[in-house]
Amino acid sequence: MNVLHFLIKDIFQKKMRMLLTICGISIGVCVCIVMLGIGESIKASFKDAYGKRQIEIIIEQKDQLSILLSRLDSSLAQEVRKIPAIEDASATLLYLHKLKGSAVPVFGWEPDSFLFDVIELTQGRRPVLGKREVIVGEAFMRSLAEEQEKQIKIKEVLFNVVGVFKSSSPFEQFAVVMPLADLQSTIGEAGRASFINVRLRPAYRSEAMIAKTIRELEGSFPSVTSMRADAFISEKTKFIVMGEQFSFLVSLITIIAVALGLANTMVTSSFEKRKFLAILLALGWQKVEIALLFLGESLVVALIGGGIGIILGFKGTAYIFSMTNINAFVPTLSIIFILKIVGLILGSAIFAAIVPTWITLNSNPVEVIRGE
Amino acid sequence: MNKAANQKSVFRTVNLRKFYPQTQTFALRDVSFSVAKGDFVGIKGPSGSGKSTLLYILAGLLEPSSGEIYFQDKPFETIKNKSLYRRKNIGFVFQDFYLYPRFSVLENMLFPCMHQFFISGATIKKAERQLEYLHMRDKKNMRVEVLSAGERQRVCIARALLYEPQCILADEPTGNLDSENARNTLSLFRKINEEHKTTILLVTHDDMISDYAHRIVRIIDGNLHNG
Repeated sequence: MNVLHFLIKDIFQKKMRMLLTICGISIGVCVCIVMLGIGESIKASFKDAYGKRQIEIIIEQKDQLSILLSRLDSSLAQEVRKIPAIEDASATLLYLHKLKGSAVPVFGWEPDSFLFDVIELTQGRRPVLGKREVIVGEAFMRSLAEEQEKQIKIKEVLFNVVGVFKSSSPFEQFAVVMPLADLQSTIGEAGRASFINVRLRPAYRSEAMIAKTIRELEGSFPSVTSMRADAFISEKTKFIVMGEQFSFLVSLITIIAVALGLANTMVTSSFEKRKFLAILLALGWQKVEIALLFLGESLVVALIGGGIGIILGFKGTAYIFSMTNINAFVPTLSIIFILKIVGLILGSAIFAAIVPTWITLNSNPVEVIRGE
Repeated sequence: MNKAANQKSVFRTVNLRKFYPQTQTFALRDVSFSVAKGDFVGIKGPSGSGKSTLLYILAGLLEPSSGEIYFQDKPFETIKNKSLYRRKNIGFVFQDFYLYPRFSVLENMLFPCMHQFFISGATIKKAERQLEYLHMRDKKNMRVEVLSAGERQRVCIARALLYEPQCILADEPTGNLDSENARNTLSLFRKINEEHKTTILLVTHDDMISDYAHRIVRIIDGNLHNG
């Protein structure tokens, strides 16, 4: 027998009230996760796309606001590879294709690009240049499977799906990949790329060497901009950061409401059993033990509600992504993010426990026992 | 007759006073008395005479306005942690049981041990022994709400005995019982006193107490009278 046995039994003495409190916490946590999780997922998608491939530098068109609008000469990749610090460079063309009302990212990669190294082909083979072949991410494939389709029409050109890949990047899970030249000809942008991914040799991956290489690239190719991959991600996710500030504010208000709701339940509960608590004090309980009793009760309720809220939040984020027309993002809630949410839940539980503890410990047990 | 007159004192008070400023009344006026180890003292008196106040002061739940208290000849003010003092030395029994109605008998007994986080098998066995002692073992898994008043009071006594205290302070334990259950409860206190040598201070209105306690003290208007 342990403390949890008593706490749970005690908490569910008032089933309806506790269920309503747990519902309130779940909804509050769910709202926080959805609000904060969307930005978190999109940023994680971007980071994964670059981090796993050890891409340190991105080269794009100068002064272009969106990567979708950035265009540069794809042969620039060959020139870039000649710089001693650079291990490899790969030109990528990005095109957003409208499919069944959603925007699907279509990547054009050079056939021998190192970008292929990180994705894992789970079915089929790589697409062959000139054969109108594509490979698709697993999540995208699932949406195709529903329709029994193995072909995709892009700009009136039919492409056969010859492979399915699993990518560590959720960004690519919904993507279509084909040889660069095929995409260039399909969308009428021969010889063009959106950006060039640059991987440095291991000896050149320090902060100082990355900065030096960027200076060298900008000196050699003044018509383009070179930037660190992490700065590129921050730049491209600026809109997310702005949205996140708003989401954070809404989440903060929600969590405060959750904490107040829980505190209200705890105070009501403490009033109901104030005589019993006075008896515990009379039987030799110490003030700290009374505080721990409230904390335990508050934590159990908050963690049950919070746990349900996290699951609902994850499902909610997925649902919202499925409703948007940008199919590129799938919900990715990192451990750190979940820990932050759990921290907020624990903070609420502690706050909710402080109020009844303070009330109980400031009342005279003798007066409570005597009913005065 | 005080059978324990020459034994070591558990409690001793000297000119104990308790003044309630809110009502401007003295609950206790210069109360000096001693309770020996193994004594069974009945404290009688009309309502509001100060008898429960005396009990709560001895338990360390109320501060006296003036006077001295000694526990086992040690000045009371030297006991820094009154909670631990109560836990180790005092068992409390109240008129209004204060049990969790939907918890079982055993759970109600063990609830006060919840501060231990994990309640050991030894503690559970000890609780079962106390229930056995009070002829309640067969009811250990029954919800308290289905028990009679007399049985509930026995659960409270079992709870008070769990830490094997030196002294039991009982505040009107027969107040909510019919005469038969009251008699049974008083005889149970007597049994505990005789078999465990537990010191008992029992506050009551009940005249039957004189059949069970070693001695009776009366408190009237805050003044203590022997016999």
